[in-house]
Amino acid sequence: MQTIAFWVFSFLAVAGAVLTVTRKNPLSSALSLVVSLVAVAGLFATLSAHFLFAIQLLVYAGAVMVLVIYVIMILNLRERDMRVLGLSRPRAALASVASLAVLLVLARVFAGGRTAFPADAKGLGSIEELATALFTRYLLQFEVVSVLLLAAMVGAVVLAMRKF
Amino acid sequence: MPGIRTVGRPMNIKEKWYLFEIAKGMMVSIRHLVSNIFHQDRMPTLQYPEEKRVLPERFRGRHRLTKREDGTPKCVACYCCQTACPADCISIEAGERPDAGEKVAVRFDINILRCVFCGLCVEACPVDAIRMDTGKYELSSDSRKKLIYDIDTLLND
Amino acid sequence: MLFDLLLPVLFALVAAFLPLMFVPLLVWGERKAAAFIQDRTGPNRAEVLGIRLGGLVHPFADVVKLLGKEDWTPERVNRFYYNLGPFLALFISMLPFAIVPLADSLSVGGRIIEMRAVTLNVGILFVLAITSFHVYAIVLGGWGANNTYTLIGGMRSAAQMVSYELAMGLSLIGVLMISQTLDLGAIVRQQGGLLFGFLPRWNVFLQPLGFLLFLIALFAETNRNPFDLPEGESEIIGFHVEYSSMRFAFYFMGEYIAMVAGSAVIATLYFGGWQVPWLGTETLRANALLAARVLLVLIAVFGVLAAVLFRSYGRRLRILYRDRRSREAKVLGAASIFVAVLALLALAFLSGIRPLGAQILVAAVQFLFLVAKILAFGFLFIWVRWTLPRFRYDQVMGLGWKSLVPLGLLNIAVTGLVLLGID
Repeated sequence: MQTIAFWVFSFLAVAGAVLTVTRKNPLSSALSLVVSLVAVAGLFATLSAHFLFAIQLLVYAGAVMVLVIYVIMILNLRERDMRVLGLSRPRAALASVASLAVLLVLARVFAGGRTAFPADAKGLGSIEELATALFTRYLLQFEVVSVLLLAAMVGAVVLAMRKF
Repeated sequence: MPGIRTVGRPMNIKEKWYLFEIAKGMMVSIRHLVSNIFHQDRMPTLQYPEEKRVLPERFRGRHRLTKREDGTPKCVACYCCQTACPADCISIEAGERPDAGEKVAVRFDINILRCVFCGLCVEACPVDAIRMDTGKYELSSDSRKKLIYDIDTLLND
Repeated sequence: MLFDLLLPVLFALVAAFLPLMFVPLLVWGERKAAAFIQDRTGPNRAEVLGIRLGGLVHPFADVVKLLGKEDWTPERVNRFYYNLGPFLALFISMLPFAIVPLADSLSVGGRIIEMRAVTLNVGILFVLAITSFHVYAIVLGGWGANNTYTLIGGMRSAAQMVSYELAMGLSLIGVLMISQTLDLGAIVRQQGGLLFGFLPRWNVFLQPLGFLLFLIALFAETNRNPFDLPEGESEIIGFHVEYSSMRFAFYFMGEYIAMVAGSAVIATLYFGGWQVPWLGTETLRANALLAARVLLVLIAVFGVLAAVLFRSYGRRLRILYRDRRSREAKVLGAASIFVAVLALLALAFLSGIRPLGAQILVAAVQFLFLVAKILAFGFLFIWVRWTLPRFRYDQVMGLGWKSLVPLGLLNIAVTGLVLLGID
C-alpha cells in the first residue's frame, strides 16, 4: 500500500514538474506545477507528516499557486508572450541533466547516506516535533527567512507605490 | 455621473455595525416564513388551473359576435371595427343577405395572435355586434391556424 | 482482515454520498423557504403517482430535466479546462466531509473505530487547504469558457475567496488556542461537558466573536448571498454562464455541497459536532435502554401528530383538486400511522440492549444530532440568502480586509489574554 502510494505520488510529482517546463501555455504550466505540489503533499502524507501535508496544500498548492494563476489571468498571458530562452535543445537538456546531478550529489552529501526516515521515530512530522525543531535548533534560520519575507513584502509595497 | 447628485444618508453607529440591522431584517423574513407555514390559506397565491380569479365585470376577454332574436348575426359588415383595430387583426368580407337585401359579413376572422385586447372594436361597433365580455382568457392552442377565429366560432362564444 | 479493508471503503462511500443526499433536500428547502418568505407557495406540482411531498419531488424532476438538456459547448473554448472546472467544483466541495467525525468512536472487540473516513490529526488545516482549492474550480471554469465576462467573474471570485480565507484562518485560531489541537475528533470530544453548570461546553459560547467571523467568512467562501458575486446571476455575469445541462448542474451541486460541508465544519468546530447537548457519550451508553424507549415514544408521537396534520391537509386537498392528488394525504397519513404503530410494537418488545447495540444506538443518535445541526445551518444559509441584498464588490473587500481581519486578530489577542489569566 505504502509502496504503491509512493510510486503513484512520485510519478505524478515528476510528471507535473516535467510538464511545468515543457508546456507552452502558461496556465497549463502553472496547473502542472499545482499537480506536482499536490503530489509532493501526498508524499508527505505517506511519511505520516500530516502537518507538512496540510501546510503544503494550504500554502503552496492553495495560496501561492492561486496567486500565480491570478496573475497569469489578469495579464492574460498567452503562448506568444512567453520569452524563448536563447538556448538550443541539446544545451538545455545538458543543463537540466547537470543540475539534476548536482542536486542528487548535494542530497547524498547532506542526507549523510540516509535513504529513508527511521520508521519508528516518535511524533515524526507532528506539530510539536516541527515546532520544537523550528523554534530551538533552527531558530536563527527561521528568523532570517522571516526577515527575508518581510523585506520582500516591503519591496513589493515600494514597487507598487512607485508611479510609472 | 454628471448631472446626478447622490445624497448620502449618514448611518449612525448602530447601523454601521450592520449586524443589528441584519438581525432586524432576518426577523422580518422569518416572520413571513412562519406565518405562511401555519396559514397557507391566507397566502395570496391561487392554485391556478383548479382555482381561478373572480374576474371584474369589465374584463376584456375573447371576442364574441352577438345575435339578433332570430339567431342571425347582428353584424352589418360596416368595417368600423376593422378600421378601428390598431393591431389589424380583424378581417371582414361583406356579402348580401338573401332575404332582406341587407349587408352581412360572409367572413369575419379575428386573428387572436395579433389582438392586443384594447377593446376599440367594441367601442367602434355601431350595432353592438362585437363584444369582449366572454371572460375567456385561456387562449392557447397547438397550431396558429386554430387561433384565427372564424365567424362560427365567434358567434358561438 | 476483510473487516479492515471494508471499513474504510464503507466510510469513504458515506463521506461521498452523505453530502449528495443533502443536496435535493437543501434545493427543496431553498425554493420552499424563498417562496414562503416572499408570500408565495413555491413548488408543489411535480408528482409521482400523486405523491408530491410538498414539492420534494421537484429536485428529482430537475435532475431529469438537466440530464435531458442539450449539453452545449461553445466554440473556441479550452476544452480541457472547460470540462475540468465543473468536476473539480463537485469533487473539491465533497472533500471536507471526509474528516468530519460523524459520531463518537466505537470500540468493537478491543478495536477502536473512528467514525470518519480519514483520521487526520491536522483536520482544520485540511479544511482550510480544501477551501483554497475551491478557487481553482471557479477560475478554471471562468478561464476555460473563453468569455471575457466569465473570466472577470472567475477573477472576482478568486480575489474574494483568497481574501476571506485569511479571515477564516484567523477566526479559527481562537478555537485552536482553546482546544490545543488541530484534530477535529479531539475538538468535538472536548465540547462535551458543561459550561457554568448549565450551558453545553460548545466553542460558540467560548468564542462568540470567532464564531461570527468564521460564519461570515464561510458565507464568503461558499459564494452564498450576500457574497455571491462570483455568480451574480441577475446583474453581474458570473463564471458559469457558458455552462449548460449537467455541467452547470455540477457547479450548482458543488455550491450546495460546499454549503453542507461548511455547515458540517462549523457545527463540528463551534456547536459540538455530534455531541448531544447535556448528555455525554458515557451517560447515553449507560442509559441506552431508556434512550431507546424515549426515542421510540418520540417517533410514535410524531407519527400520530403527522397523521393528524395530514388529515386536515387532505380535507383541503379534496376541496381543491378532486382527483388522484387528493389521495396523497391519505397515503402519507397511513404511512405515518404505520411508523407510529411499528415504534409502539418495538417499544413493547424492547426489554434490553447489549453493549454493542448500545454503542451503535448512541452513535446513531449522535449522528442524527450532527445531521440536525447541519440542517439548521443549511437553513441559516437559505434564510440569509432570501433576506439580504448582495454586497458591492468594494464592500466585500472592505469588510474582509478592514473588519474581519482586524477583528480576527483582536479575537486572538483577547483569547490569549483570557487563557493567560486563567493560568
